[in-house]
Amino acid sequence: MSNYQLGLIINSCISVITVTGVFAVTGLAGMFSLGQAGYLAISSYVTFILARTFGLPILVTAFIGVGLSALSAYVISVPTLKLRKDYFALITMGFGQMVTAMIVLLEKYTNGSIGYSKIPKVKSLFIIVIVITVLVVFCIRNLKYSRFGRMCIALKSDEIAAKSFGIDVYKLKLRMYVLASAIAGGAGILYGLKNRVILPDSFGWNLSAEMQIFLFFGGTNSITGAVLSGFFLKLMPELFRTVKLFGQSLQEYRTIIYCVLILLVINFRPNGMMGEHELSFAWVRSVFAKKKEHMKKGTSR
Amino acid sequence: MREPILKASDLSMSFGGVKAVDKFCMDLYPGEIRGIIGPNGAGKTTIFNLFSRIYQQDSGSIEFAGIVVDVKNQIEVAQMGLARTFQNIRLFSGLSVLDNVKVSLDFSGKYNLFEAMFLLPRRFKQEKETKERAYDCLCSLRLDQYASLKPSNLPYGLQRRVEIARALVSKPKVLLLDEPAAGLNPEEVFELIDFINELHAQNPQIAILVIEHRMDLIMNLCQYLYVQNFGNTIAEGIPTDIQQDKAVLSAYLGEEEA
Repeated sequence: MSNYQLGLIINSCISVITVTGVFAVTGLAGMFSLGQAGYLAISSYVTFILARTFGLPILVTAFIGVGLSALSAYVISVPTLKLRKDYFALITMGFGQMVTAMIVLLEKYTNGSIGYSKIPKVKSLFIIVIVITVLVVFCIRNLKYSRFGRMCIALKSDEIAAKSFGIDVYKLKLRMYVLASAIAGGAGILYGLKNRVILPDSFGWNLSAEMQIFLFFGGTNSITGAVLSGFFLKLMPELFRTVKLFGQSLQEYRTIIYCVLILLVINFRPNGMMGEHELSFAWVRSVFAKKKEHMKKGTSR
Repeated sequence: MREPILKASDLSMSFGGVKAVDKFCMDLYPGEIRGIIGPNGAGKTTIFNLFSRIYQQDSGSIEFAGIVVDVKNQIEVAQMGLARTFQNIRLFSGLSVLDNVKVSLDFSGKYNLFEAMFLLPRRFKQEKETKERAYDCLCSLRLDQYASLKPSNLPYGLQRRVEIARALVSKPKVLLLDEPAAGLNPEEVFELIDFINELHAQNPQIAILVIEHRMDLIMNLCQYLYVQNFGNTIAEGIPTDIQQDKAVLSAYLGEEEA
């Protein structure tokens, strides 16, 4: 594969990581966060600036970066999680905007809106990204089928009923939000390593919105849907880069295409493309078993 | 002398100018089934919401398992062993029947977030245990055949039973049933009476408090009744006495007082 194709896959994998993180917070716990891009920004700026200034290895500063974005998620969520859902969405969105504004203001360290480009080159980034993606998806999948996943889905369905079964709603939401932000932080570092330059604009609210769109497209209740749509919706505009419409590359119409897709999904499949289906071995087996049954009865489709 | 497991003394609560509950007193002993009856708007559900701490009372106090719970919240009393059902069934729509039952055991789970994500052995052990307990509970209430279905695909009567199973699986000290017969047809009501009697025979230590305005259900089930009207307790006693009570008859049938 050419470097360009590898780059596309890396981009899509980073998108899968962030969407999986958003799945944990929005799909499982039902919190609509519009500020996830802020955590990508915090951790990637902190990681690379520390690595550059103090000459520390990236691996060390990456932990500090992810830790800091988890910490800021904690600080943000302690007062805001008690608010109603819509206010929570607004505040997270404001937080995301605040982070990019801060980056521009702290020009001395971040190089402002010109972008920070002193990012070291990492060998075999492709393999690292693939491994981290698989690990994150694996972890969140396990989380969904654990007691935490059940409690999250319960609190999303009915908060008062969840409380009356002893579920500490506030603590659970806090944990999920911090976890999702740490995942977003990790994705931010990979993003920096891939592009070798980070701009405040690349972590604006449209990145946060994009993640939510991907999640809703795939289906908020299905991690399979989140992963697939995170991967392919990110890849799709790149594939149409050469297609021209009204003298411009089709990629420029990305936002319009996403919006149309979302409208179609909301209209025809309100639960997203995958609904509540998950790709599992049991499911594959049951499909094959059904086919066999049909064959035996002579009614194969 | 036995100690009451749930005790309300002079419980009052008003919404604006309306006194929903006025100086309500009640004792509930372990192993008993008691009922609160009364017409619509008599403050029955408010009493339940006070017990499960969804509302905070204006005055009076509640004692649960020997502890005053006036300053406790909904989550704490639930963890102390107070389980309830809701008048308009509130099963978790995103979970299967089995998961709905499992989830009420989950707050006491032993494994942490990290173990959950990386599939460590403690998770397997606990998940197996939780599944067994939930499945046993469903089996004992003859609901096991519906375990993998979504609650919204079940008929109303079965949804009620699943809700009761969900409340029961954590072996609570007190079970509050809020209008279990609402929306059921007469046949389903009889099935429900058998169902509750059966589960009480299986778990004789649980104290059950039922809200209802269907007389047939309450008379067949409860050992002791409180009759509420406009927030006040107008009568209390054993069911046969209540049926003869003048004040109750006038509240229910609108009879002129003789």
